[in-house]
Amino acid sequence: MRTTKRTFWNFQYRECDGFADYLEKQAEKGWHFKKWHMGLVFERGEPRKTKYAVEVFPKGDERDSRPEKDAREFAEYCEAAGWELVDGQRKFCIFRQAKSDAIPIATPEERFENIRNAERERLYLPLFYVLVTVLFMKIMGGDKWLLLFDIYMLILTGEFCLISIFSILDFFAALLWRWKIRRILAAGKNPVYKGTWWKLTERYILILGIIGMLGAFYSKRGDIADTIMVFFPVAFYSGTTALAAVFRPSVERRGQIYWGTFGISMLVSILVIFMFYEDKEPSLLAKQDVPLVQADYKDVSGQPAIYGEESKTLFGEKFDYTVYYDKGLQGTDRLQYEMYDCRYEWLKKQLWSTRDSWKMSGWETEMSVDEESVVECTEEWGAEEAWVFQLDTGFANSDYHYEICYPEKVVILRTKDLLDAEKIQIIKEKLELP
Amino acid sequence: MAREQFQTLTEPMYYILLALTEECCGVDIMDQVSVLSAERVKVGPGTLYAMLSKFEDNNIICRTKEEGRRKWYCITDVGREMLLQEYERLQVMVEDGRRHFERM
Repeated sequence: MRTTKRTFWNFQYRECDGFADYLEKQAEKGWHFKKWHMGLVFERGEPRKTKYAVEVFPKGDERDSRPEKDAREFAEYCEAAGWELVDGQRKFCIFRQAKSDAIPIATPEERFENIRNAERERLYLPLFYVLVTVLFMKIMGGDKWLLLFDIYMLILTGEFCLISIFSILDFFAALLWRWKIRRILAAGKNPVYKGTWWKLTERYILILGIIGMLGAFYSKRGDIADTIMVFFPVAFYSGTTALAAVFRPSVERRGQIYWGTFGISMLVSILVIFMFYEDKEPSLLAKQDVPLVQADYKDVSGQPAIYGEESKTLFGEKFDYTVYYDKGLQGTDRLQYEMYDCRYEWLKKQLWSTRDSWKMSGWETEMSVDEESVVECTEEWGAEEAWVFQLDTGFANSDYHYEICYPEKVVILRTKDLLDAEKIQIIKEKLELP
Repeated sequence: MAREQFQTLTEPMYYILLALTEECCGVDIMDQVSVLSAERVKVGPGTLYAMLSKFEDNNIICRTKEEGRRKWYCITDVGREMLLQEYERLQVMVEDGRRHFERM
């Protein structure tokens, strides 16, 4: 029969009485709280009624993995008052009643002040999350509608928005909580700090966050910047948390742990970057994997190099391919096409309304639209609306940029040739356009 | 500044300062308060710890010695003056009350 057990309940400061209740219930079952080391550790003993007090120590630090000097000094006072310190972490101090006439550790007003101050971040975190979300949306700029077709970016965007929304709701929940406790105190009653359903919501947000981050990481694993952005913080945070949980460093040793984890995380991140760096060059696709290559509508020789990807979300499907034919001394013949098959007409309209931003994205970083070359070609494509223009890339062999809008479909196509009716017909058939 | 923050002393504040008119170990203050108030006032450890920190930060009391985790404190001149002013304020209040009740 086992003599110790470990549980992994996680309590918020505003649940400190719920925490004490939990320990008391365990004691009644014969499990007596022993220490807080990689979870709550209980030792088997005689079932008995034991009174616990879980207090928020105002001088504690979020990073404390054990009661530090100040907390131990505070514990001396508590001991004199009839409370024995069992263990503590973060700002939590867990006491067991040692004398039957023990004096309450703090007044109701003091407890409220301590808990309120320890959870102050609930009031300013929403601002941080909303700023990050706005910044993310701003960086995406005109392309934000295109995000809806990329499953991993969609998860990441959804995650940002969800965290922002829940943090705003939590802000109001915190205000309401403060108001309720103040009313209880004003009525001369003693507030009880138990668990709330809200805590579960926070957990779901955390899980969603981890899934979102992993999804984004895997989808972009060829990209070094994304690897650093995602992998390093995850490695650093998990490493520090794990080391602090196992070794419970003192405040003096905490710095060493952080720097050690920082170094190890850097090392692991560099290794991961190099591992994926080998894989950075996007893999080539076969001719049969893509719906259209130049050879379908004109004479080209040799084997094409094809790059691209496709993705599907609840908003629709998207593919984006680039096909290169090496023409020897004459350079390269390139064809790039993207198609957005929108499930909703409103989405297609939104997508089409951002077309001004498409011109500047693509192969070359420096290019401008030759305004005189803009021609409507709706009839040729049998579309709702279609335009073609030349992109001035500074080279003689400029690109023709087509933007075509069908019901629920948007096509962006760049080619070295001005397409005639016959070529357009072939392309339409290949891309299954109406 | 200290005076502004502690314009009127609460009951636990008053008794803690009264206890510290003689050098006293932090842990023993609770007992001293109990003795001085004839068991009427009991100061909890959370209250005492918070008060000592505030008093020390505002130079109302000072730390006289430290042995292990135990610390000894004593009231400063600023604290003593504050305590006397509070004592006089309470006396005035008592006197005012006495005169009022005698007239009734």
